[in-house]
Amino acid sequence: MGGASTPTGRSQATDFEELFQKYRQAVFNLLLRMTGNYDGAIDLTQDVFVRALRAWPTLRDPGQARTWLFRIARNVALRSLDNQRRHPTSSLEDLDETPASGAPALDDELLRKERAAALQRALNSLPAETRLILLLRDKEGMEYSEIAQVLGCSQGTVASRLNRARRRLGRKLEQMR
Amino acid sequence: MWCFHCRRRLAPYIDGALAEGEIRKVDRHLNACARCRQERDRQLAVSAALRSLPEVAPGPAVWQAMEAVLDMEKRRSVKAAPLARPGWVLPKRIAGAAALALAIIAGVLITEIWIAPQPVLIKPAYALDYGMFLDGIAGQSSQWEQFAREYAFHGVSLEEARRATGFALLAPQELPGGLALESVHLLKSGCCRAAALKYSSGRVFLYLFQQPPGHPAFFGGRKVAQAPRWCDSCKWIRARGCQGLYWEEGDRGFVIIANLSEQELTRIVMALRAASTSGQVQRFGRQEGGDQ
Repeated sequence: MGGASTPTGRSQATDFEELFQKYRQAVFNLLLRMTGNYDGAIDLTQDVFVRALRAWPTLRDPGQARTWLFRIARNVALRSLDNQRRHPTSSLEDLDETPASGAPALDDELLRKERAAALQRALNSLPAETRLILLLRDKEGMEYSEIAQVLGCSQGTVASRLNRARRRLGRKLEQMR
Repeated sequence: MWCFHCRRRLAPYIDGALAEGEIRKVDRHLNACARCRQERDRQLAVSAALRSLPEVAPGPAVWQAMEAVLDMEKRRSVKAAPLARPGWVLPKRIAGAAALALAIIAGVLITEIWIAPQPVLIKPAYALDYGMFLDGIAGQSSQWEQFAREYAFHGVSLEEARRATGFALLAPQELPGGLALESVHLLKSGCCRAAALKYSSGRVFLYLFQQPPGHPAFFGGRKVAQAPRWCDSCKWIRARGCQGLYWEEGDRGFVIIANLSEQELTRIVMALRAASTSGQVQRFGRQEGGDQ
């Protein structure tokens, strides 16, 4: 990257650092919810930004940086999940850990954590692409046009996939009650 | 509008992504159809539940470590920057054909001249059957018998294991998630040393092997993937259905095999290597915010 400049005259290094600062948390949380594994999500987040750094000179429109980055995150997540499916491994930690003992948790806080854990388990039971589209829309707040860019499909396809995904998750949650 | 048409449009209806005319049609149907209203409410509840998932924030140390890796990557990409474009350029078709010819010649040369280093002829360390070892069924397998004839300790302390194996790298006493080391079993065959470490709840069993540098196939493993980014001499291997990582340091080769993900193995191995450099034993433990 060195001292190369973008058309605006700013250094590419500065732009990439801004991208990292702005989206690292969001990328991490997406990967966390996709994999259900904290340590795995950290490593995958690093993987995403390393790949993004290598591909940075190919990004033509800085305005598309967010969807471009999330497209990389999608590919990294799907590859990791596919790898796990082929070679199942034990995990040292699960996402839905019980709170550390010590100060007693408030009932509301405990209830919130249990609900989040149940929701994560329901998410984990869905196919990866189904999980992804739900998280992109309902957690990340992306518009259909943005999701279409991330997934490489039309907005109509986004609408129908999202419809099916919400129905599916809704049924899962009802079954778990 | 039928229920089928309405339900197909519920997601964009909820998200405000429908055209005006379509919204009115869906509205009219929902006013008249309790089942579709129920479906709408279910989707609204799903959407709200997902929005309420808590944001998890890794500690600052995690981001600092990541920035360090990115800096390293930036330096690496500067070093590998392509040479300046020559003043002359071949016509595309000729350039393409020349490149293909060069690739074929290079491929032949690489295959014939550069062969993967022949492993040193030493007695191999047999990779014991995972389940059989856990059950401690000594003497019931020819591989175990071969090992047992040489040298085998059971249930030794980590300190005894260190003395017996001469391992410069030591297994962590604790793993993330609070898993504690429960037992160590040692094996030796010729110049190979192995330690099998069992962690609490029976969830993790790490095999550590040490031998003179050589092909990791000696551990019953085969190379399955490229070296990890942070280690040029490392190889991912697969042995007995488990993931493994082989690396060399000086005049020794090491392998760690466990049924853990690449990410988790990487973290353990990186910590072990750092510990061997600093001369200290790395202790894993869960810290505030989950970073280490």
